[in-house]
Parts: sequence; C-alpha cells; structure tokens
Amino acid sequence: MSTPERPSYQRRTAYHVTLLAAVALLCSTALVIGDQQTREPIEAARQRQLSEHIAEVTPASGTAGIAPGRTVQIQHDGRSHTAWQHLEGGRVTGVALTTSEQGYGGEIRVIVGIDRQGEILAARVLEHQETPGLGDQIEAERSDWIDAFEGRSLANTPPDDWAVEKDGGEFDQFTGATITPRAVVEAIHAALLAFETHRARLLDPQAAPRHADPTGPEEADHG
Amino acid sequence: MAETDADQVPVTDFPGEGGESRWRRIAREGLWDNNVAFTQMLALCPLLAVTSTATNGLGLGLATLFVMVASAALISALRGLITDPVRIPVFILLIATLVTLVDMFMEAYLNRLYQALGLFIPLIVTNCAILGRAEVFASRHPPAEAVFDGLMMGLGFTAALVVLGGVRELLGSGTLFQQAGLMLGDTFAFLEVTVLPGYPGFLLTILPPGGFIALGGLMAGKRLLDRRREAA
Repeated sequence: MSTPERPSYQRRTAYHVTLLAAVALLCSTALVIGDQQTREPIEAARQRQLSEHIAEVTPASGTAGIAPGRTVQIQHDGRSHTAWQHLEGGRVTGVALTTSEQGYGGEIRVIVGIDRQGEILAARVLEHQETPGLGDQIEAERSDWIDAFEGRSLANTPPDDWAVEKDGGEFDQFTGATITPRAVVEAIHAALLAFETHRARLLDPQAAPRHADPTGPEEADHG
Repeated sequence: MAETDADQVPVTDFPGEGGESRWRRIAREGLWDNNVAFTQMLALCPLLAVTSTATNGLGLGLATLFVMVASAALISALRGLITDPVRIPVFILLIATLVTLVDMFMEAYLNRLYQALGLFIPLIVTNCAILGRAEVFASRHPPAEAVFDGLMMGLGFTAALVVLGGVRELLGSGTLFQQAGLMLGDTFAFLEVTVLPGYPGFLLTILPPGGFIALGGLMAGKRLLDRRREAA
C-alpha cells in the first residue's frame, strides 16, 4: 500500500511546474466546456421559473397574455422595476412588476401582480439569501405569509399600515426574523408607489418595445 | 528543490486491531471512530450554518457525500502523477473544478433538485474535510479503497448532520424533517413529523450559537460512549 518509488523525471522541478500547469489547463478546459454545455439549459430553466412566477401573480388565464420578452422598464425613487404586461384583446389588464429591498442576508427580489385598479393580485419572492429555517418563510412554498398581500392597494391600506406589526403596521413578522418580512413589505409598497406614478406608461400596450428574440437583452439579468 | 518524494512516509494500513478486514476498518473509521464532524471536527462552518433542520442537514450531507466520492476517485486515479511539492494546489484545483461542474450540471439538468440543494453546493468548495481526505487517504490508496473511504466518510458526515439538525429542530421548533417533501419529492413528505404539537419553539437552538451548543453536547455524548466501550 506504500507510495511507489517515484521515477527520476518526477523529481525535477520542471515536472512539478508542468504538472501544475497541465492540471490548471485541464480544469479550465473542463470548466469552459461545462459552461458552454449548460449555459442554454440553465438560461431556459431560469426563464421557465420566471414565467411560472409571472403566471402565479397575474390573472387566471396565466401566461397566455404575457410575452416574456416584452418588458417595460421604470425607475422610481431610486429603484428600478421591470414590468411584464398582461394583454387581453389589446388592452393591458394587469402587470407583473419586479421590486427589491435589502433583507437580512442580501437583496430580496419580489414580483408583484397588480391589476388596472392598482390592487395586488399576488406576490412571490423571486430570489433571496435569508436564513434557512427563519427568513425563508417568505417563500410561498414554505408558508402562506405572502398571501397577506392579496387584495391590498394604496387605497385600502394607508401608508402607516405598510409595515410589520412590530412597527405598528398590518403585516405579521416571524419568530426570530423581523428584518426579512419588513424588507418584503417595503419592497411591495415601493412597487405599488411606482405603479401609481407610472400607471399611464405601464398600462399602455404600446410601451413595451417589440423584440423578435424572446430573451432580449433587457431581460438578461432578471433570470 | 528538495526531493521530498524520496523520504515520503510510506502510508500503510490503519493501526487497527489485527484480523479486521481493511474494508471493515475503513467503514468503522468513516462512520464512527474518525467521524468528520464529531472526531476530526472539520467542516464546522457549513455544518453549523445549515443544520437548523434535519432536512437541511441531509441536503448538505448528500451534496458533500457525492463530491467526496467523486474527488476520491479522481485524486486516487491520478496519484501516480501528482508529486508532493505541488499536491495541495492540484487537489484544490481538482476539487473546485468538480464542485463547479456539479453545480452547473445540476442547475441545468436537475433543476428541481437544484432548487433544494443548490444553496449547499458552494459551501462544499470550502469544505476542508474533502481536501483532508484527498491528502490523507485518496492520494495514497488505490481507487476502489479511496472511493469506499469517501463513501463512508460522507455517510458518517451525513449522519452527523442529520442528527445535529434533528436535535436542533426538535428542541427549536418541535418538528422533525420539516419540508423534506420539498427537497426529496412528495414521496418523502411522510418524513415530516410534528413531534411536539403546540410547542412554542426555542429560538436559540436554531440560531448559530445553539448549533455550537448542540454540537458540543453531541461530541461529549460520543466521547462518553467511546469511553464506556473502552472500559468494558
């Protein structure tokens, strides 16, 4: 079982250097090939997930009225939002709007479905790095907390109520995690404010540029 | 450059009791005597971060197990070529490449599993237990034994993570294997048990300090068992 006696060429410095360089080269090659092989399926999987989330927050007919590549970009109050319009017979019946806020472990990205009247249809967390077991209760798969936003609007919930209960607002916090739900409430409130300000553009069916390529450039960083 | 190869210590069999087969000894070392978490005390950083539930422990354990077996096979197969002075950078390169490839292919082709385990995969690169096994075992033994050692060490680690996660979950929220269905598919949803209904929860054990306390308790328990066994 002992290590076999090394042949003399393996004792030269040049051998060690060559070995390390060869391994580095092989590893890089493997990574490049791996990256090329998986880039498309990964992008497709991310798109599929995004479409699923868009479908969950828009009207019952699901993604039928949504063109994934057609987005409207808006800036409001230091945040940038991407919106997908839900079209029915040439009329925008609702939008799915992304929004974000710093949570406990990093940025939390949320997508909110809003109808023409500015009422929330549903909200889903797209991405987060919150603590597993504590902050991840914001995921719809793990708890129904996020359903508390359904039907909310700026009209039926005054600005002071857009906060967790601990801060005197309307929304529950979780045991051991206040920062996370606070961030989600903030993000969703910001989305509604942005919708209110940019309503005309968001509800204009001509606002989204037409792209032949469904994975247009403006979408690249929203997988 | 010093010719370190010539005076490399020949690594022979384990200093185990006579008569026990090599394979049994590898299994015993990996699963209990030389357990990665409880005896070698390696890889504690990812361990304490994610073991707030038994399910999370299982997730990290399985991902580690897989990378450990694959890296053992690779490093053992190349051990005739890898020389001492450059072995550590070579091991790190191979392990990091392997983990990155696993991460990419899993996200591309096993997306559902990736949603559940993806969080744990980057943690494995930083897992010193894998480098440790490459150095101590895989680089000095033929592939079959190295793979078996990787498997046993990985299983021992997984078991330790599940026990630690289970203890913390039970004390912290009164449940066991919460959300196992999300990770392993609905067939495994039966694993999810609420052991103590109406339990108010004990936050400390879920937070990292509670992880240290629970780990300390389990290590003390293992030593006690070992000592009792020796005395007998």
